[in-house]
Amino acid sequence: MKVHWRQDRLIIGLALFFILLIVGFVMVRRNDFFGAPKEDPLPISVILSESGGPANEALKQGMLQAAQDHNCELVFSAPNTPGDDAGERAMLRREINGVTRGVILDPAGPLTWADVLEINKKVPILSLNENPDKANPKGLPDCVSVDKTAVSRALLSRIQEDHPAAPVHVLYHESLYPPLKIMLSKLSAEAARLSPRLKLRFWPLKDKEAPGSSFFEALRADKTAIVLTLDAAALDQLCLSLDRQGAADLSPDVYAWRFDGHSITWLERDRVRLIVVENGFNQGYLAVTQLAGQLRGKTPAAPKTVNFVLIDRDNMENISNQYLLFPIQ
Amino acid sequence: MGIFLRERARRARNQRSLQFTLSVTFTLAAVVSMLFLTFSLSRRYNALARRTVYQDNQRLVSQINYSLDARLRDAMRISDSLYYGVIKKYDLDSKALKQNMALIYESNANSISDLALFEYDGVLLTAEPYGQLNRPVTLAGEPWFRSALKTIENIHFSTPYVQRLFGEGQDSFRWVISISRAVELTRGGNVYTGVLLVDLNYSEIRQIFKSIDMGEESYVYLIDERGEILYHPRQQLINSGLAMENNRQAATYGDGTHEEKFGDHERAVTIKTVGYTGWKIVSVTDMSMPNTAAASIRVYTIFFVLIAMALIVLADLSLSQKLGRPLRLLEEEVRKIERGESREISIQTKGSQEVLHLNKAIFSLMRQQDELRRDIVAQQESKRRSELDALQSQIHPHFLYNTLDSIVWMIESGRYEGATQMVTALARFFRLSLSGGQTIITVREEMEQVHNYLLIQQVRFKNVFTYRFEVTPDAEACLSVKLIVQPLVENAIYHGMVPLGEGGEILIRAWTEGDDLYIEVNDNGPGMTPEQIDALRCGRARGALRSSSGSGIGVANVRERIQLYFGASYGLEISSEADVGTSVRLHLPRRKEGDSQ
Repeated sequence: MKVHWRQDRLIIGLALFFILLIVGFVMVRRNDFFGAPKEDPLPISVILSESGGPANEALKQGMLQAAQDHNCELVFSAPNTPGDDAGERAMLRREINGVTRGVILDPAGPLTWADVLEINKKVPILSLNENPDKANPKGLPDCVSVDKTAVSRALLSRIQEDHPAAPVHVLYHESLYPPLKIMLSKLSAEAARLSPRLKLRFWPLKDKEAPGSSFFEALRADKTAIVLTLDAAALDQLCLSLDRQGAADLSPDVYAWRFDGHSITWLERDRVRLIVVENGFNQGYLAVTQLAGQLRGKTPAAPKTVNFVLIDRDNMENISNQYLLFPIQ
Repeated sequence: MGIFLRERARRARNQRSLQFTLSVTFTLAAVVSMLFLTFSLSRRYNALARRTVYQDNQRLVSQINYSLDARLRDAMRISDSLYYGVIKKYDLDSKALKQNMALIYESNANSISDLALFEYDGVLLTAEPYGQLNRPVTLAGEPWFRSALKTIENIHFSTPYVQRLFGEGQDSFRWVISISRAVELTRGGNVYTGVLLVDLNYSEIRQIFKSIDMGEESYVYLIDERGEILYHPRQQLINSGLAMENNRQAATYGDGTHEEKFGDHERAVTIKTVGYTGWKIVSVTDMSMPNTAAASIRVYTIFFVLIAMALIVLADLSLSQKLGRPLRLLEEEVRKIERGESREISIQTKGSQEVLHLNKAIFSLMRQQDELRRDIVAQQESKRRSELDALQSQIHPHFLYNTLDSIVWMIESGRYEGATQMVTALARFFRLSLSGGQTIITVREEMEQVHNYLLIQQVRFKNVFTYRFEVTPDAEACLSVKLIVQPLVENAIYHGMVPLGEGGEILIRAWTEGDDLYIEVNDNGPGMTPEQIDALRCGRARGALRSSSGSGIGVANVRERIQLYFGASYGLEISSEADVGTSVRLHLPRRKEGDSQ
């Protein structure tokens, strides 16, 4: 009887083992049996300081690709007037009080930044630019942007290579708040670091204002005229002014940071020697990837640095550069 | 330890029940078959799935190739129409040339971005829809222009790029694929060489690929003969360094399906070369991440195999129990019989025919054995009784002869009163001797018998001896074989008291110790020599004693009867010392009326 009972137990144990195996298997692979719970897409608001332009187009494409890869639903918005700080602020408040889980923001000015600092604790915000007033201290949103120190260094190094010891006239619209302020300080710092002979002369322009006669007089006074524009509008105004005045007596070498469709035309016409093009697609993709990861409870990655390319007439036909300059719609 | 375990395993093997053996054998056979079947089916399914993936990819790239080829042939047809239908037909300065070019452009405006005709040196002759270049351009640097003039007999296809020759503003950049060829131009009867450009909208090509939904594991891209990517669903990620593609390797593959390892992924790469252009359509399927349907099928297969295995185990258990249970019950019955717990086997009504037959056969065998055993017991009992009766019957004739002899002697000598007492005692003696035919009587009855006998013998041997009884009440109630004390008393009288002449004393004792009963007959006669005692113990006493005395039934008779009835562990002991006396002790079991034997 003892033998029988021991052997019966063995068989019953075997049957129980199979039952447990089946139950365990079903539990482990329940998604295959009952279907994986479909995760709702993450609603994320994207507030840009301006819409349009090839750079923004590439940015959006990068964001959309990341949204597809990481199951996010993006809502894009931008103020009617580019750089409208108050308008952007209102948008930010509206989005924060809506259903959005996170915001990707290109802050247009100090008002938006003030709101970011206040609202930050309610909804995760990821900025596409550093705070110009503070070096992104603790508590400020993560930032995915180009490394402006690297851009400054690359630009000034190239200018120095092309024209050693020539003074550089930096032309910009001072109303373009956030990236510009940082860029100015970075340029000054890098110029001092690269060479004491490298002199920068800053020419701030009022909103939509063209460079004045004093600017052109200054260019004429230089043996080699070098201009660095820090926004697409300043570049456009400069090139139009040069066209109007005739380039016979004045043909400066123009270098540009930030661009639009006109900037490429000026490049093709050799009015501009070089444009720094940030990889907008890269920035958009990394921004959404980072915020989505953060919202899904993954450890927030360190702020990402976006790559950039110096594009001139020689390399603008490269297929990868063409994708940057002319994002496919 | 090893030896111990081996020994245990060996013992376990030897102790395997039929049910266990059946269960394990069936289960193992079924499980092994199932696993083999699953393994074979799985391999077959994997091969089939792989082949299906290959076939699907082949079909898909063929479909894409068909669409792409149709688009490119359309563009080539436009180029041919322009060349053979317009440029060759009309003079360069004729209005008809421009009108016909405009007409052809209008007809194909959806797929064609622009048309242009250049002189050998790059001067624009005519263009649709723009009419002129948007800026002064040196066309010698344009790849499509160089290719057309380098190999004049061919039509050349460029890689996708942004056409910036025509238009203004946003309209000035369009992603196109340029189809260029060298053409013969006629002006005033003179023939020149020129270049015809047809810009195919790149969106047309992209649309072909974008409309294909291959799921998460597969995608299709397009490369030229050098491996440059013309279209890729993740082109921007690749350009940004956020994704990688094995396009250079793919350029080296011929048409067909190839397996490759790229990064951590095993991939099936299907290649189809697009006619004329040398471009390659590349379909990639990640084989290390099987599609959802395949994964589901695999999961369900494993699930059903597990279910089947569990059912097989349960079925085997049930079957083996059904087969083994009647045998086990039969075995238990036989074991009970072996242990003496039962004498009969119950007849089973359930089980297979073989088991029922076996059960009946064993039942019948056990019945026969039982009957045989009962017959043997009865025969032995009968034989024992016969022997007892024979032994017992030896007592009475001697005693009767002696007593009657004494009575005759007393009558002859005029002792009538003594003769009367003797006859009375004799009558009581024989009445007790009958005892209703019983062999077993109580010690009390046996003592009464002895007392009667002693009364008779005292009359006969007056003043020769005295006697007394010391019997405990517990001993009186015990059972004894009839007429086992009287022969000993008779021996004490004839061999102890008579030779003594006078002053003899006989003491009869009976007592119990534990489970034993002892009855002792002591006399103070002349006793026996050790040789006489040994002769008695060896069984030669009967003849010896009988021959020496001519009376007494003998010690051996008493011992045999005791052992015949109670077993060999009981019997009789003699102790005697010359000139002191003799003591004969009977050892019997302590049994009382009502006790089971």
